[in-house]
Amino acid sequence: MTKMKLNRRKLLTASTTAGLAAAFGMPLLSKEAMAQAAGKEYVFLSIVTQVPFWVDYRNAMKDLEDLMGIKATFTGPLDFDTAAQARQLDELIARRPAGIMIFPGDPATLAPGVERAVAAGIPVTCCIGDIPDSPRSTFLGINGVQAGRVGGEMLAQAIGGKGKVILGTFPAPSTLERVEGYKQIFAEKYPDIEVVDVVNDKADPSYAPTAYLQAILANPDIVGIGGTDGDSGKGAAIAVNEAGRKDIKIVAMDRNDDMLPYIEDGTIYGAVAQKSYLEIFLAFHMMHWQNTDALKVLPDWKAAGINPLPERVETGVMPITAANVAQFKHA
Amino acid sequence: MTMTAQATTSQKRPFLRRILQAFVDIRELTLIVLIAVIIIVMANINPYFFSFSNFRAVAVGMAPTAIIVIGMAILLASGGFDLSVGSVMALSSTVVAMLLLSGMPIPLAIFCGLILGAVIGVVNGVLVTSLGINPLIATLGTMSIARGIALVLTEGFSVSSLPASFAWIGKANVSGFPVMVLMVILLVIAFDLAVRHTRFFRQVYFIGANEKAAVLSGIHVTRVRIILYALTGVLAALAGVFLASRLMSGTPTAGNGIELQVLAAAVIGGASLRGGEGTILGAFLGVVFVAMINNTMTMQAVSIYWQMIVIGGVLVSAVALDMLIRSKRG
Repeated sequence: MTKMKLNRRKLLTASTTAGLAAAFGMPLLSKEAMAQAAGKEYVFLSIVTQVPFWVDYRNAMKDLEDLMGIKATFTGPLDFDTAAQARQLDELIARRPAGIMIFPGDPATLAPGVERAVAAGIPVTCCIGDIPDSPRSTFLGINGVQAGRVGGEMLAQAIGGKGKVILGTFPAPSTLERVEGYKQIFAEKYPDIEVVDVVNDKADPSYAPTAYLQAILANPDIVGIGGTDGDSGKGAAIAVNEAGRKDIKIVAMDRNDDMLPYIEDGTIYGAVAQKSYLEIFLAFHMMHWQNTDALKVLPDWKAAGINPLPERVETGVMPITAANVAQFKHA
Repeated sequence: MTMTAQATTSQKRPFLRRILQAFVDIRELTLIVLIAVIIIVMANINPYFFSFSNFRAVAVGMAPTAIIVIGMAILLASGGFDLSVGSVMALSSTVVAMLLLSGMPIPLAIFCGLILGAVIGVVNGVLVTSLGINPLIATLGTMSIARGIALVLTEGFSVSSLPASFAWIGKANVSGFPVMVLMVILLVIAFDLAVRHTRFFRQVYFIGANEKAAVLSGIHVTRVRIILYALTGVLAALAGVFLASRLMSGTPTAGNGIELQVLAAAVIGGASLRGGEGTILGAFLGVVFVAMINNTMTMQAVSIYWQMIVIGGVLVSAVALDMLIRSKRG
């Protein structure tokens, strides 16, 4: 069974690589490229690393180690400690890895560190959130507003395009963009949907059910809940069960394994998941291309002072429904 | 105003003042009045507030905090405190869930979780008493270690698919009242009575008020302190069991920051960070008060940013008022 899974994963990895290579006009890693990458350390510097959300990134990193022969390291503060993340970036620069991908907690805090990394010859890419005022090579990830619009569209379909809803979030830039996306799509396409409250579930699985339960009781005429962080879906599902309001339709965010059973049993209508695996898979390849000068955009892009990579790569989202939820469970 | 009326007013004034003074002096009464004011005001401005289901939601939501605050209040009275309670709660919920998944009977798995809490509490107690490490540093260390163990065991994933019968603690009702809430009320009553009427817990206040005097009077301060830390650990672990049962999963990331909420509620309830003061009932009412403020803001759809400001403001106001009253009393 394990062998089959490994083979399937490798097959998936190989086919994804082939697709990417075709998309970017690059060959698959040759023996020469493999040798160039071998033993090099690529780091993913994240934040709030204690949550299970990072499993897809870590799976991609394991596959990249096999595929490229690199050492892939996942690190970052356990909590939303932006100062600690900035400090860790400086420590990483001292270690001289071959590339750093960052999910920035606070872009402004990290921008000087990114400048120092690039000045030291270390390519830096960003995922999920961008550091626009920095010399990072590229940003890969979802457009938060767009992800919110997809969730909003899904919720609108579930509730028949009308009624009162509440949104769940916690105050971070990436999740608040999704709230904005929900509101945008309702305003543009579904004027009969009214957002009556935005609930702070603190992205805390132990607090989220209480937050949603109280919000449901405060707004008994709601017909839907749109969640914008990884803990909102399960929290809202427990709340509707406790309130005896399984008629309320829920749209969740991300693909946490303990939330997926609620999609299977119909408590949650659907979810919006990021293509996390793809983000890091692309980022590490892109940084490798920079390091090996593989991108012949110009004879000498460094001398020309241009960035050979795309400024932004929007990796899109994957809608999860009862029909495809089985595919999203982690082994 | 006639002379007779003036005389009547002056006779009444001392009585009213005495009543007012009693409310100010007895923190529990102050909190009961404040909670009653919130309920009366909210019942008049929000049609959904004054309902059994809303109070039930508030009670269920605050249950883990209410259990932990019992231990914290006693510890504060002894002059100590414990920052590891949130991590112990998360670790206990995770370990109990893993044991249940391995097929262990529910009572035994819960017992193991409580023992784990006791062990961490004893470690805290030994670090603070025998090694003389400041409680802030000692419990900050065990907070990090306990959370780390939970994450190492699970890699951040929740431990779900627990046996359905485990949901009884977190979801069952007796005559419409959640079992979890009834257990919390029983614990609060039991510990409040114990603290007021048993010799062991009375020692706690002597230690908190003047440790040297307590030693000289023959109290085994080290032993008492270690027992109190163990008790706090057990109660935090019990909160983890309740939480795991409600969520039907062990959650290694649960309860981040709950230690500060618990400390804040205990202080609002009359406990002092300098020790020697506070009651279990007061601390419990502190939790209820904060939960009611949170519920009020949810009911009124207050902006999530303003909610943080309001909670911070309430804490600072409560402590400032307390300091003012104490200084006036001399």
